[in-house]
Amino acid sequence: MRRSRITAVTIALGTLLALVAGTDVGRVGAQQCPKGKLRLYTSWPMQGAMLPEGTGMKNGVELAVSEVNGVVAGYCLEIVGLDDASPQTGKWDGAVEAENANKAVADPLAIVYIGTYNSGAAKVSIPITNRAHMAQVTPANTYPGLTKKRGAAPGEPEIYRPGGFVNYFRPIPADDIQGAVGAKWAKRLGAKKVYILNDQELYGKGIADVFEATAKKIGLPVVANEGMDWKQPDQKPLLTKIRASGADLVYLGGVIETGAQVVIRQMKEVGLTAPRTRFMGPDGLLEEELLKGATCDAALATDMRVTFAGLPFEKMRGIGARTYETYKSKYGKEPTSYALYAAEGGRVIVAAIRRAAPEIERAKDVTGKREAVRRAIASTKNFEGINGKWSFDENGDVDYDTMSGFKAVKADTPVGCKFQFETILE
Amino acid sequence: MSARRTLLVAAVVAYPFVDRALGLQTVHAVSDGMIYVLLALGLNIVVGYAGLLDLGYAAFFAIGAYAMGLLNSPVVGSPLYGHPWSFWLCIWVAAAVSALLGLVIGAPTLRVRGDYLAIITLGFGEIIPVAIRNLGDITIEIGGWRPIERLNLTGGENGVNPVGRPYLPGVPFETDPVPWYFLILVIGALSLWAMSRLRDSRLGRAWMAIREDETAADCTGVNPISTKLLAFALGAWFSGFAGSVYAAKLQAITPGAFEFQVSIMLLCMVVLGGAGSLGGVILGGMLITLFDRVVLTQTTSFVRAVGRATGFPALAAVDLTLWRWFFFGLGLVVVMLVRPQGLAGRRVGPVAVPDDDDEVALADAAPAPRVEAIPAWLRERARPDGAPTPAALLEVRGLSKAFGGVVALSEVGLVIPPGAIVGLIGPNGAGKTTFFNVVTGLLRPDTGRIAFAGASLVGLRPNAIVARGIARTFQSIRLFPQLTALDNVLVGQHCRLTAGVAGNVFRPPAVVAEERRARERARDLLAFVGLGTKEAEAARNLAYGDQRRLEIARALATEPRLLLLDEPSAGMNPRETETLTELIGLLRRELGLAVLLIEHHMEVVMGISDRITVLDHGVRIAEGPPREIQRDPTVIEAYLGSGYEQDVAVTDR
Amino acid sequence: MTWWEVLVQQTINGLTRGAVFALIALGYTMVYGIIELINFAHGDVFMLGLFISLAWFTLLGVTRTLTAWQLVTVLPLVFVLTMLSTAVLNVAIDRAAYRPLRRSPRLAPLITAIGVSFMLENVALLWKGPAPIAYPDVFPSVDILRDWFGVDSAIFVTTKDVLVVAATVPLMLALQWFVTRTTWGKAMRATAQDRETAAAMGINVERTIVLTFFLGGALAGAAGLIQGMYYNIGQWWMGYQAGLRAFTAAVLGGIGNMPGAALGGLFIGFLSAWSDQYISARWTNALVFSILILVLVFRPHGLLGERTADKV
Repeated sequence: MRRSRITAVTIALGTLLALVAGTDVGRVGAQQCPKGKLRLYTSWPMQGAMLPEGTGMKNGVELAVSEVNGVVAGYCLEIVGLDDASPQTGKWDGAVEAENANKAVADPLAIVYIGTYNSGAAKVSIPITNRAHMAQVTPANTYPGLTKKRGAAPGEPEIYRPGGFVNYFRPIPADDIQGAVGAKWAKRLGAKKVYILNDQELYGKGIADVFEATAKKIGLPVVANEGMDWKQPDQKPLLTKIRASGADLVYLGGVIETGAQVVIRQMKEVGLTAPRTRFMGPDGLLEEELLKGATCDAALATDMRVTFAGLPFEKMRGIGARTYETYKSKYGKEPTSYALYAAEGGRVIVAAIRRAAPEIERAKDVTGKREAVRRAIASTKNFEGINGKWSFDENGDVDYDTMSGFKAVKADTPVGCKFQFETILE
Repeated sequence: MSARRTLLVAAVVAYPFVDRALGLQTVHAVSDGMIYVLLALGLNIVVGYAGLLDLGYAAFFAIGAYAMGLLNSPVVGSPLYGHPWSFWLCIWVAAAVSALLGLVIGAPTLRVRGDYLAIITLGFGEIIPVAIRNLGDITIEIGGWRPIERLNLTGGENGVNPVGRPYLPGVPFETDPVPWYFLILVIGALSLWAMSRLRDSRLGRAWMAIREDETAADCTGVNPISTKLLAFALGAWFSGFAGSVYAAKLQAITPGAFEFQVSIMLLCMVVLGGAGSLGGVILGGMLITLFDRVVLTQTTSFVRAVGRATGFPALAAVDLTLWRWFFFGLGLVVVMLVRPQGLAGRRVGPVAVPDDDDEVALADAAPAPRVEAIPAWLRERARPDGAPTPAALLEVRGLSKAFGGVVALSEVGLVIPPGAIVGLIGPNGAGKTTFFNVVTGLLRPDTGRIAFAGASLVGLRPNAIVARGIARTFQSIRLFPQLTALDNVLVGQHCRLTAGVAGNVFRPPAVVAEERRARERARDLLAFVGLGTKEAEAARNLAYGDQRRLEIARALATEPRLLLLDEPSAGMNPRETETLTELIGLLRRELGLAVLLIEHHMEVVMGISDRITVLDHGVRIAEGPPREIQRDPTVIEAYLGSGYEQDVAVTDR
Repeated sequence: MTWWEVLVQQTINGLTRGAVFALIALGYTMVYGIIELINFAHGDVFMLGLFISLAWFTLLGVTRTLTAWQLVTVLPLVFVLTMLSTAVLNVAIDRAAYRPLRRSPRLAPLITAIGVSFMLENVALLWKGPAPIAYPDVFPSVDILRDWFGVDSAIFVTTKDVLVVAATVPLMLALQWFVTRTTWGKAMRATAQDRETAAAMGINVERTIVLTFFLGGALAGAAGLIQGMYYNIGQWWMGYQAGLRAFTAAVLGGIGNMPGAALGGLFIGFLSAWSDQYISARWTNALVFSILILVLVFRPHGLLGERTADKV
C-alpha cells in the first residue's frame, strides 16, 4: 500500500511539473507581430535585499522595450524575467543561474540573455550562452576577468568563451577601472594609510584587490586587505584592530547585502570617525538602503565616499537626462543604481535587432538568428548612450572610463541624508 | 519485476523526451534535484541507518565538488584537464577523497556521542567552506620571509570555473540537458542499488543496532567505532559522487554553495521523507527541491489568475514568492506533525502490552525447551576443539573498581570452570552488575586480573570480548527495539561473519552462502527459544518473557563459551521462570556452555548453580556450593535475613 | 594604541559579544536539558525580540536617546514587555510545534524547529524588509574614561558596554537562583534529569516544560533588546547566525548545564574577538569551530558538562 502511495505522489508531482510552462512572461502592449516573437531573458536576484535593485533593472529593460512599443522591425519583443537567487540563502545561486541560462538557451524564441547582477553568476551563465551563440548583456557585472586580462584570474576571460568568440557585452565600465580610480581618489583626498576590508565575495574581493594593487603602485601605504565574516553583526573587534593600526581610510569592497551597513555603523561606535578615519567604498554601496541601515549619523561621521562607474543620473545630459526623467515619471521613483544601465543595455539590444533584422529573417535555424544578433551587438559603434557616445571594444567592453565620486551629505529626505555627486574621476 | 516497477522505470526513462516534446524545460531542474536526492541518500546512511545526527554534511558535498574542480579545471592548472576521459576518473577520486574526509570527521566519534557528535559535524561543516574560501589566497610570513605568497589552492571566492565535462563519444554533454539527466540517473540508480544492498547486509544491521542501542550493540559483538566510521565514510562516498557531478554539470563551483543551510536542507529531506527509508528520502528530496524551484513560483501565477477570474484584487496582486520561507517552514511543521516518522517512514505502532492473565497465550509463548531443538551447529561449535581445556575458563583475581569515593568492587575473585554454572548473588548495590560490566569490558577495572581461557581481557573493548566468546544479557532488557526478532539475533552473528563493504554490495557466492547460513542459524535459535513464529515482529512489540528469551537467543548467536545472565528471570511469572531454568540447564548439559548468573530468584540460583559467589558492598563474603552458602552464617547475616529459611525449604522439598 | 591597550579593548569587545551569546545560549541549554531538543527556532526568537523591543519603544514614543528619568522608567518597562512578548511567543511555539511530538522520533521536533525558524524569519522579512534595520540610539553612549573620569586613554569603555554586562549578569544570577532555590526550579531540574520519575513524584511535567520555554523566551527577548541597543542594527536573518553561535556556546559549556552555557558564550566571545585581532577575521569562524572540536574531543561532555554514565 505504501508503494502505491509513493507512486501516487510521484504522479502528482509529474502533473505539477507538466503544468509548468514558461515563467513570468510580461507582454508589452498589444501589437502586431508580422515576423513573430523574440524573447529577451533577464536573470538576476529578485528577492531579499536585492528586490529594489532587481525591480529597478527589470523596469529599465521594460523602459527600453516600451520605447519601441515592444516591436522592432516586425518582431514582437517579450521579456521573460527570471530570478537567480536561491531561497535557501537569499543570494544568487550558481545552480539557479545555470538553470536560468539553460532555460533561455533551450527556448527557440529566446534571442538575448540580459544579466546578471552578480559577476559570480555571470561566470556560470556566459559559457552556456556562448555555446548557443546567444548574446549576453549585463547591466551590472563589473568583475574585470569576465572580459579582459587586467585584474583577471589565470585563464580568464578565454574560459568563458568556449566557442572562441565574444558573446558577452557590458555597457558599463569594469572594476579594474573603478578600483584604480578609487585608490587615486583616496590619495587625492589626503589619505596616508589605508586599511582594506572585503566581504570575501567575487565582486568585493576583486575590487579590493585592484584598489590594493593601485594604492601600492601610487605610493599609498596599505595596512592589510582583510576578508571579513559579513554575517557577524558585531564587527567591533575588527574595527578596533583597524583603529589600533592607525589607518586613516577604510576601504570596503562589498555590496549592501554583505553587511557594509554594520561596518559603517560600528565605525562610529569604536571611534573611527572623520577627520581621523574616513570611509570609502565602491558602487555596490551606492544605494539608499545603505544609508538607512548605517544611519546618516554614522555615514556623515565617517565622511563616507563612494565611487561609481559612469556619471550620476542628475549629471547626465542629453539621452541620459531624458532617460532619467522618463524613468522617474514612468515608475514614480528614483532609478536604482543600475536601472538606467539596464535600459541602456535594452536599447543596445533593440538597435542591434533592428540592424540585424534581414539576417534574422534569412537565418535557417535559431542559432543563426542568435548569431546575427550577437554580431550586431558586437558591432555597436558610436552609440548614443546615457554617458555620451561610446563603442564596444573587441572584448565587449565600453570604451569610456568615466567615473564619478559621491559623498554622503545631509539632505531633506525621509532618510535624512543622501549621496551627492562630488567629482568626476578619470 | 512487478508491473508497477516496470511502469515507474518507463516513466523515468521517458520523462526527458516527454518534457522536450511539450517544451517544458524542466529537465535541468529535475536533474539538479536528483543530485540533491543523491546527497540526501548519502546522508540517510549516517542519519537514517546509523542514527548519527550530522549537521555538516554539505562539507562532503563541497569536498566532492572541489576534488572534481581541482583535478579537472584549467584555472588552477589541474593535471587532468583536457583529457577526454578525466571526468570518469575524477568522479572516483572525488568519492574516495570524500570518504577519506568522512573518516577524518568521523574520528572524533571515537569519544563523542549523541548531540555532541552533531555539533562536531556542524563545526566541520563551518570550517570547510571557510577554509576553501581562504585557501585561494595564502601568504605565509615568518619574520619578513615569505615562503608562500598569494598562493591560490582553491580559487578562493572566485571558485573554480570552468570544470571539465564528461566525455562519451557522440553524447552532447555540452549543450543538452538530457545526457546529464541520464548520467545522474545511472549514478543515482547504481548508488541506490548499492545502498539497498548495504542496508540488507551485515553492515546495515550493525548500523541499525548502533542506532538503536550503542552499548547493547557493543556487547553483542558490533564494533561501534569502525561501524560508525564506515557510516561516515560511505555516506561521504556517495556525496563525493554527487559533488563531482554537480561541479561538472554546473561548470562552476563557489564556496557559497556549501554552507550550513545546505546541510539543513539535506537533513530536512531525509527526515521529511522518512529517515532510513530509501523511497522516502527520494520523495522528500524531490519534494523539497521542486517546492522552491517550481511550486512556489507557479502558485503565484495560479493564485493571481484565480484572483483575476474571481475579481479579488487582493489575490490578483499577491506575490507568494515573498512568503516562500513561510510556506516552506509551515510545510515542514505540518508534515512532521501529521507524520512524525516521515512521509514514507514506517509508523511505529504502540507497544503491545502483554496480557498477564491470558494463560493460553502464556503457554503458547513459553514452550518448554527441548533437547532436539538445540541447533546442530551450536553443538558443533561448543564441542571442545581438541585443545587442552584449561582448569578455569574465566579466572578473575583481585578485581577492584571505585566510582569516585564509592568502592563498587574490592579485591573480588571468581573462577568459572568450563561448563560450570556459577551464581552471583548479593543484596542490591553489592556490585554484581558492576562485576559484569567490568568483565564484559564496559568498565575498566582499577586493579585486578581477568583471564579468559588463559588470555587477559583487561583493556579490551566489549565487542572484542564478545568475539573471544563471552556473551551477556542485561538486567533491564536491551534489545534493538525497532529491529525484528530475526534481525536482533542476526546482529548477534555479526562477529562471526566476515563480509566487508565490497562483499556486502557485490555479494560474491561466499558472502551469499555466509549470509544464508547466518539466517538459518538465527532461525534455529529463535525456534530453540520458542520464538520461531515471531521472527518478523519488531522486538519492542514482543511480550516481556519473549523479550527476555530473545535476548538470550541474541547472546547465543555470538557463539559464546561463557554466558553472563543478569537477572534473567526478573519480572517473569513462575511458569516462565521454570522454562528459563530448564533452558539454562539444557545449555550447560548439552553444549557444555559455562554460565555466570546474577539472580534474585533463590529457587533458580540454588537449583542450578554448581557454585555460588556472594558479594556484599563490593566484597566477596562467601564462595562455595549452594548448600554451603545456604548455611553460611555470614551470608545469612549479611544478606539472606531470617525469612530465607522458608525459601530454602521450598527449594528442598 | 599600545599592545596592552589593544588587548584590553579587544577583551572588552569579547566580553560584550560573549555576554549576548551567553544569554541566548541559556535558552538553548534549558530547552535541551529538559526535552533534548536542539531548538533551532530559538535564535529567531532572539531576532524577533530585537524587533519587538523596537516596536515597544516606538509604541511608547521613544525614538531618540533616553533621558535619565526615562532610563529608570521606560527602559525597565520595555525590558519587561519585550521579555513577556518573546516568552509568550516561545511558549506558543512549543505548544504548536513541539508538544504534539513529545513521544515521536527524536528528529521530528528538530525538523519542526527548523520549519518554525523559517517561518519566523519570513515574518520578520515581511515585517521589516530585507535590508538591515537601524536600531535607534535609545541608550546614551558616554565615553566613561574620558567624560566621567577625565582620563585620556585610547581605550573606549562606554556606558553601552556597561549596560551589556549590567543587564546580563543579574539576569543570569536570577536564573541561577530561580533554578536552584525555588520549587519551580527544582521541578525543572528534576524533569531534566528523569522525566518519568519526576512525573511519578507528582511534578507536572508539561507545566514545567512550558515554564522552561517561557524563561528561555524571556532571556532571548532580553538578549534581543540588549543587542539592539548595543549594536544598533537588526536584520531578519541574524537569528540564524546568532543561534548557531549560541548553540555552539551551549555545547561547549556542556549542554544542559546553565553556568556552562554562560561560560561557553564568554569563551566564544573572547576567542573570536582575539582571533579577529591577532589572527585574521577571515579565519575566526574556522578557529572557533576548531577549538570547539578540540574541546569536545578531550572533554566529550563540554567544559562543565557532567559525564552521564550509561546505565546498564
